[in-house]
Amino acid sequence: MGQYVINGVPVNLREDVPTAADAKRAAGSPVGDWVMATMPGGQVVKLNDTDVLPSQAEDFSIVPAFQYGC
Amino acid sequence: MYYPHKPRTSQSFLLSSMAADLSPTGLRRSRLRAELQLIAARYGAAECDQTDATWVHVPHFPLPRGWSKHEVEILVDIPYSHPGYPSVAPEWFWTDKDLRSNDGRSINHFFTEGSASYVDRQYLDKGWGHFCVHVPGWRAAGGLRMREGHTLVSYLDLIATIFRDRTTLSR
Repeated sequence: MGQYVINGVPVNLREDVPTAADAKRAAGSPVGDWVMATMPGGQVVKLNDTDVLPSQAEDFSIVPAFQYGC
Repeated sequence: MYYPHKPRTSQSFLLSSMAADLSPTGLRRSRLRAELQLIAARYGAAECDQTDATWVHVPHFPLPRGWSKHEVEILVDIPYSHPGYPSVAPEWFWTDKDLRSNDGRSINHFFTEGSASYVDRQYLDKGWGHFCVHVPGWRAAGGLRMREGHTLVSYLDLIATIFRDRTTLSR
């Protein structure tokens, strides 16, 4: 249970050990969206639905699935 | 909303009430105007192309640490062919051409020259560079349920995520 910053907005998650799927559910995001964790050092990591939200992450974002183009 | 001080007859009221533009451009323009309210709540005031509804401009988009600026302008190209936005996701956005990492390096996936398109060259000449990001997971929110599905706020959240990903963007 705790508060997490998701897309810049504080979101309360009631689970003791929240997963990426829990974050999507709490944020009301489409189930196919990606949960991304910003790690110290500037790396953004995509989480699987069953992954626990890493405690060392600086923040999280939930975004539509994407790929760089051009 | 401000209305000019002009006597309104029942006939003029009917004409103005029935003047909804149901063309693809008119519908897209209405959608963008509604989405500007959502954008403003998270990213501050924004504006859109009031004529053809082909772009949305966010003048003060905050950047995380690691960049040469604290904020940039963002210009999102809105798909306007048929089908266009919101069925089709944006996949091209422009930002300050002189953006660099805070140690002066240029940026992966960021294009600041060499487009064959006349319009793109005009943008480049005006100081914009562009990112190209495809969004295969786009599921457009319905017009009456803007918070259930994707909107331009989703796309701007994606842009914010891209700017946090300094490892991928560093050259």
